[in-house]
Amino acid sequence: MNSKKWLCSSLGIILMMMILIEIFYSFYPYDRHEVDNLVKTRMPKINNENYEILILGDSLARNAFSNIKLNKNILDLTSNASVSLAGNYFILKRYLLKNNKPKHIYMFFIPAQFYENLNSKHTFLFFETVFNKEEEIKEIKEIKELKKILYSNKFSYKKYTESRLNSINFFKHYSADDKAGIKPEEVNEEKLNQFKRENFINNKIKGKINSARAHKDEIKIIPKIYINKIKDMSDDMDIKLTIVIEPSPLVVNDIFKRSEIYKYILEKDIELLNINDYYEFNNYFFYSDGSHISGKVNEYYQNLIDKNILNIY
Amino acid sequence: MLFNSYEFIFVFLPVTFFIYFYLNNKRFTVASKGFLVCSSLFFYSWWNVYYLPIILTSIVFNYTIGRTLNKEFNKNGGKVFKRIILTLGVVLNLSLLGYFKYTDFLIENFNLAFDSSAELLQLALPLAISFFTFQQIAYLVDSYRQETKEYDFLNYALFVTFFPQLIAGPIVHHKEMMPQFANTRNKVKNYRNIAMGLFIFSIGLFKKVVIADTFAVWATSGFDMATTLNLFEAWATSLSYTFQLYFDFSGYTDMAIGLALLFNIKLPINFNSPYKATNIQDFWRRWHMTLSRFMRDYIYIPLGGNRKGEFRIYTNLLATFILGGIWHGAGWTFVFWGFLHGMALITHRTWSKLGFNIWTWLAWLITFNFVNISWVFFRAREWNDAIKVIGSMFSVENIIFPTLFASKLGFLSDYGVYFGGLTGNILAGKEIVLWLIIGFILILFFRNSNQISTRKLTIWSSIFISIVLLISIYSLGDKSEFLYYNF
Repeated sequence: MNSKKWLCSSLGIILMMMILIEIFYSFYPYDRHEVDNLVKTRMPKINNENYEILILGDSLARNAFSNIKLNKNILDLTSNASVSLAGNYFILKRYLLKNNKPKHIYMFFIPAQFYENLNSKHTFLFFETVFNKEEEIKEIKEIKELKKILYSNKFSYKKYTESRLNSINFFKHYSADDKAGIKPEEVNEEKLNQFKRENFINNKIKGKINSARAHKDEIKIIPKIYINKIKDMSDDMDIKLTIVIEPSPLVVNDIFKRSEIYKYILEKDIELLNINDYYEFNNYFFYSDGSHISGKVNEYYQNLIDKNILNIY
Repeated sequence: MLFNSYEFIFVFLPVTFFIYFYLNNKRFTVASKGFLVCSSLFFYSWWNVYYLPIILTSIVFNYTIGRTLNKEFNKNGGKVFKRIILTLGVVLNLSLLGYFKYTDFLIENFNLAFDSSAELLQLALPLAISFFTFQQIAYLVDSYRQETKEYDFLNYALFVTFFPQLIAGPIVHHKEMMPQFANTRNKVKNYRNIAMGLFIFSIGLFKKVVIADTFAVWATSGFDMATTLNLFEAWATSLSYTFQLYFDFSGYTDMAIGLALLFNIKLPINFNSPYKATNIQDFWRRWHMTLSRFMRDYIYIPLGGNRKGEFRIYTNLLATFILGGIWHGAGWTFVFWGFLHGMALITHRTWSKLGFNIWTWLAWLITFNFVNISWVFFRAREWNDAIKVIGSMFSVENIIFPTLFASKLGFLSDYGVYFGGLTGNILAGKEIVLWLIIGFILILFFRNSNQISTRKLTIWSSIFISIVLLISIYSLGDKSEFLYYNF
């Protein structure tokens, strides 16, 4: 085979494979089940409702609320994956457009979400495939920082395409590894030694601590914008807003409480309810991803929610 | 700009390639060379434009010194004058390198020795300074020997800055580069070279982004993050780094060779399946071959090489390798790594002289393990990190068996054997075993990219390279620097 032909055939094959991947994707559009399920399936059916309490949040909250029987005046709008502050703002906005205003909104976040500029693997794609109503796109375009982030992510071929491919059912899905996470009553020296050997999480937590330290002194633009938007929206409609800080490893929570964004939230006069003030979540209670908590600890978390939030209603 | 980035692959490279050959096609050969120099400087400045004056000054300074050394002088006074000029040139080059690379190391040791607290300068190391300094020292020495007379400035500037080899080698010699830059036949597009260039570049990209970056996660976790390691983790960490370093650096070299071929320039090969080596001398003939060549020609031989008796051979070997260690980085771990290799070469030489023979597989096993263990010192940021890994590699108290065997071998726990996760500390799952096996298969049983590239171009090689390139492009997103960018 002569060199020219070889070059043409190689480039042709690459081009063909890339096109095939794109065609393939068009049959399996991006879908992160929980978010899609909530926004595209459940929410359109929620119309003219009179819920008094709205619960919004991520997978930690989702796990906690999945086993709590809620009063009929409370609506659980938690979803999975990192919907982010921005995503929750749009979920809330969609709800408020079609329903009567509630009395109280609880938004559950882990500290990392306040350091997040929508760069994470899946988050930015929600703004392409989930929050893509005309008025939402318009609103996104008006925020030049957000537009820039979403645009630049589109050019990260790996991030963009890999995320889309991974969202297809028969590709591997991430799930929290059940190998770690000790039940609180099981914490004894022997277990801890064994756990240290099996240490699946400490490095992840170390990473989270490093990340928290790195972002402690700065306020990221996107969380700031959406904290303001959520606050303004609740003020305008005279709805009480509480941000709930979800279980976090001790050091991560300590750093968060000394961070600029934490001060900023307090300055904005937003009510903060830090679950970690009621219970110390030891490193060993977390799954291998360093974020999610093991089954038994999740029950503790549910009790805390029940006692400090739901019991009030 | 990294070779493994979108901006390089999809913007810089095609634009440079097409403009270069367009200018040549229009017979603007000087302009095309000038353009290639400017593009290379742009490529260099992408990281930090403040480094640009350093490399420019270095080029002008060394070219001027080289020209002066090339001039004919009266026999006696001229010779002394030339020696002074050469010494000045070499000393200034080494001073520049020393200032940026070794000042803090010296201050740290001074503080330690005299219990003082002089402040560190915290200087950022200008990119590629170790490489372009060595290349130009070689040029000065050869100018002194009257071997560089015909070179013009543009060719010289291109020799130093040519972007495929600028950042991390191969360390090219002016004798192999300048004639290629001057050759008019190289100004015409050569489809065979383009095809081979693309082929080798793709293999290099795959080695880097798919293989080396995979091992990098485990190596980094083991060395920098984990507080303790069990026996398996320690071996997995050291082997991961051994594979990471090879696939990273040889990947970079392949990419450099492939890129240069697109411009009809042949760079020297730098790796020849080094982990197949069956003794340490063989290893150094296969690993970073252009550095070995430089150390041989400009350190070992000037020190006396093997011309001054057996004892001097040993001291020369040791000195050369300790200097080689220091060249890689300012730290005692690098010095120790160089010392280890120097001692290994001395041992090998003594062993060979005694005429002992051992089985090839055993020779390989010893060589590979020596290299693997010595890389631990090369990689570790601190002594303690090296000791942590080495200690765990040889500590029987650290043995952990997979939980899978707990039911059958549970009685061993009475003897201090633990059952649990094998690789938790280095953020790895079972896949690490598979990857290590793949690593061994690739280094031992596969042909290297130089050998593959001599094969005929077929439709199968076209399909193979398309898949390799596509997988690499899909894996590009999380850009990681090449390890040798730090040296």
